[in-house]
Parts: sequence; C-alpha cells; structure tokens
Amino acid sequence: MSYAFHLLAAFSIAAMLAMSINLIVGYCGRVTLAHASFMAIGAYTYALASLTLGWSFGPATVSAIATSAIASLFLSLPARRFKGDQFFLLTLVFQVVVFNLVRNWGSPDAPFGSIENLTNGPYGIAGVPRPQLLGVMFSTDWSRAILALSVATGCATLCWVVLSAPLGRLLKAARDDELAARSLGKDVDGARARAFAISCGIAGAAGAVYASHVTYVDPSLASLDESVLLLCTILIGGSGNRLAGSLAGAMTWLAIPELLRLFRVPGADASNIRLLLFGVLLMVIIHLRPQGIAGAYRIE
Amino acid sequence: MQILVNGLLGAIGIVPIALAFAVVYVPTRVFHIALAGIYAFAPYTAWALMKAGAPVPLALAGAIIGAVVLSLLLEICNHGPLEKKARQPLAHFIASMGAYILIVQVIVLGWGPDPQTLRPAAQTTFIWANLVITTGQIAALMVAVVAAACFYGWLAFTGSGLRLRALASNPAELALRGHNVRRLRLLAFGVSGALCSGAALVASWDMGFDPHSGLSPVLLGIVAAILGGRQSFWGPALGMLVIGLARVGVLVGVSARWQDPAVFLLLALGLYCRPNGILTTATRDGGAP
Repeated sequence: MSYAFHLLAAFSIAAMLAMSINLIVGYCGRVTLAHASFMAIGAYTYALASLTLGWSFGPATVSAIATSAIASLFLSLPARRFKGDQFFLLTLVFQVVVFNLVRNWGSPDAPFGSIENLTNGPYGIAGVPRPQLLGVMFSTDWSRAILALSVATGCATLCWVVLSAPLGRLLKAARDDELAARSLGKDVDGARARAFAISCGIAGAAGAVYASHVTYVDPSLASLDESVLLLCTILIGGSGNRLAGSLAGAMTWLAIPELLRLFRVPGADASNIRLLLFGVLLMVIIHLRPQGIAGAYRIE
Repeated sequence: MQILVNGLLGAIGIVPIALAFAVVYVPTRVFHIALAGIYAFAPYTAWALMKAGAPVPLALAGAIIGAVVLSLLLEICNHGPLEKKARQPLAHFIASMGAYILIVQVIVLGWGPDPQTLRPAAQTTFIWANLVITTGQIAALMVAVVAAACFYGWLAFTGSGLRLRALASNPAELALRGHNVRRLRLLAFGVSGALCSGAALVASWDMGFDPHSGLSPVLLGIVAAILGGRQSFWGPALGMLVIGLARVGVLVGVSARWQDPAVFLLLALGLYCRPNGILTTATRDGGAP
C-alpha cells in the first residue's frame, strides 16, 4: 500500500511538471531545455527556507514558487526576441548556469546556508524536514501523497482557469500568428511573461513538494538530462490543451516502468529500457503524430 | 603556460566535432544533437572490435565506418522522411533528440554503463621547453588539423563541396537545376559521422569513455558552430578559437569549475549581439550571403 502512495506522490509531481512545461511548449510555442532548473530552484529554495530559516511547508513553498517565478524572467524577456533554435539555445545557457551554480556554490569550510556555502555543492542538502502545515505533521506516506495530490490539483485548477481565460486564447493566437495578435493591439510580451511566470512557479511548487517528500535535494535535479526528460514527457503526452496532454505525459512516464515490472524486467535494466522507449516514442510521435498522445498543438 | 597549452589543445580537439555539427546544420538546418550518440558509439565499436581480436588500426577504421553508417541511417530513417513532409527545424531537433536517447540507451544495454578505455597502457609524455605534452594531446592536435584541412579543402576545391555550399545557400534553386539534394544530404551526414567519430576515438584513447561522454563535447562543438557563424562553414573554427581562449581565461583567472558556464554565457552574449554568429553578414533580404 505504501508503494501505491509513493506512486501517487510521484504522479502528482510529474503531472505538475508536465502542466507547467505545457504552458511554455504548447501555449507559448517555445521549446525549453531549462525546466528542470526551475524545479531545482524551487527544491533548493524550499530546502534552504525550511532548514536555515525554520519555515513550515506553506511559507517555504510560497518562497519556492516566488523564486522560480522571478527566475523565469531570464527566459521570458529573451522570448520577446528569440524563437526556434535560438530560444532553446538560450534555455540551454540558463540550464548550464543554474546546474553549475547549484553544484559549485559550496565550500566544505563554511557552514551550510552561509553565502559561501549556499547549496552545499555536489553533496546536496540532506535532512529536509517533512511537511508541516497548520500544526499538522505529514509524516506518513499516505498523508504526503494526499498533500502532493492536493498541490497538483491546485496547480491543475490554476492552469484550467488561466488557459480558459482570455490569457489562454491570446497565448494561442500569438503562438499561431504573433504578427496578427500584435496588430490587434494585444500585449503579447506581457501575456508570454505571465505564462512563463506561472509555468516556472508551478515547477517551483513541484520542486518544493519533491524536496519535502524525498527529504534530500542534490544537483542532479538541475541536470540537462532531467530537462530533456521533462521535455520528452510533454512532447509524448501532447501539448496545447489545458490538461489532457500533460496528464497523458505524466501517466506515460509512470506507466512504462510499471509495465516493465509486470514483464519482470530486472530493475537494473528497467530504467534504461524506459529511456530507450522514450527515445523511440519521441521519434515515432514526431513522425506520425506531432501533437502527441492527447495534445492539440502539432509541432510541425 | 602549461595551462594555456592544455586549454588550447583541448579546444582544438573539439574542432572536428564543431565541423561535424556544421556540415549538417548549415546546409540542412537539422540541429543534429544525435551527434552526441554517434560520438559515444564510435569508441564502443572500436573497443568491441579490439576485444574480438581485431588489430588496433582495423578496429579504429571499423569504428569510423560504423559511425558513418549510423549517421547515414539517421538521415535515411529519421530526417529524410521529415524533410519529405516539409517539417520545420524544431521537428528535426526533437527527432534528433529521440535518436540520441535511443543510441545512448542501446549502448548502455549492449555494452554496460561503466567507463572504458581504448588505451592499453599509460601514454608517453614529451617535455619541451618546460611543457609536458602527452601523446593523446599530439594525436588530438593532428586529427583536428588533418580533419579541418581535409574538410576545408574538400569544400573549396571539389565539385561535391561546391554543391554542398550551394545547398546551404539556396536548396530550392539547387534542386531546380537538377542536382540530387537527397544525395547531398546523405553526403553531409556521412562526412559528419566520419569527423565526429575521429574526434571521439582520439578523445577516448586519451581519456576513456562511457555512454554519456558524448553530450558535453558535442554541446561545446555546437556552441562553437553557432557562435562562429550559423550560416558559415568557417564559423566553427573561429568559434572554437574564441571558446578555447575563453576557457583558458576562466581557468587562469577564476576556476576550472566555471569553465562551462562561462562558455555558455559567451554563447548568450553572442546570440544577443550577433544572433547569426560572428562570420555572418546581413544582406538586403535579411539572410546570409
């Protein structure tokens, strides 16, 4: 039963990340290789706020969301000028810089949390406190799974509301024909900046939930591999609609290892086979179904 | 001085990879990230052939042929069909990313995830004017110089090189004049596989290899190609020189830990100041000459 709750928490985190990257890929029409870095920013902010400042789950998560949303300006401002491969090269720059900051901002001689040793370098931060909200301690697996699901539901509601509102329609219009949207007097740059902030804020929330669930964060969270896998998740699930594509992507991400377990594939090979299947799926989908399993935006 | 020489020799070793990326990217607009998979595939093929008893030269030749075949397969099975459907560069990039993931995982499942080495014994070092230079560094320098000379010579003095430049300049007109664009694309992918595998084999001989060892040098090569000039075949060489000097500067002035972020920040700066790279000049239609 504990494993089922662990899966539920993992699905909630994966769904949050897929929903957030859907805003950038499916609604802004930009491919990003930096999304894992926003999750890592959220996870590290949560870990630092809870360990060094003693903040509980609520304020620490809000600070994680705010930090990631502010960091999104590094991408949303260049998005005015760059698109296509120029934009994803810029996201690659952001990804590499954040990864190296997280990995290198540490010193064994300085106390953890000080300005010289903010992230504890390659060792990561262990002992992140379990979530505590309004005096209630989420110490059991099921309670943490419910908490993760609640946060994911909140994020899904936010995405649904935002994408059903005029902002969602403006983003779609600008994605399909930016010049036409601008000629109608629409503030395309402002809309895109808001979408990026919401997207990265949700990724930050996913990072906070992850840090509180696993109680450990390390630089691998911000690695390029993680960003590539997040991008694969939404490309396979499909982007450009409110929730269906994101949920399909998160479901695929979790279903493949469970299917492999069903076929009794050894654990050591299972993770590699999962990645191999992701590679094959990515190629098949881009050739045969560019909108993904349940998406609406065809990446032509 | 030793740091400067090491940094520059390390950067020169990346030149063939930058050329391998550019020879595909400039004429076809395919963002060939699967090159990182080819980079990983070549040394594993050589290693497997050597383990099967093949002499070293034969194993290295077999690895280069294997990499060329893999590169051609990527064009035939992956990018060619997308090109027929007139898909945009973004679709090619995503398909290439899928191919990269696939190749690396096939290597992991077939040959294991552990680091390996091609070199049977410790390499010889030479001391010249207080500088220590290894045979691996000399080999990397020679391969880079020979590869660059052959590449630019081919591009400048042969008919196929001229047609490839024409493909980069105006693919529609080239096709209208009856040239076989599909064959030229295959040629570009084949040359790319050969250049990349040469660099990979030298680096693997010097430093060992693992299934994930391709991404980092290929990303550096991509940065060099984009920074130097995204529409120029000469861009990669200039870009690599700039990157090499920047890496040495950071190594001497700051720390080796910040070399990668410095290079990528240089790319960001380059994209802001000259979005099409150093060696691209603007024309009246906004494109490259």
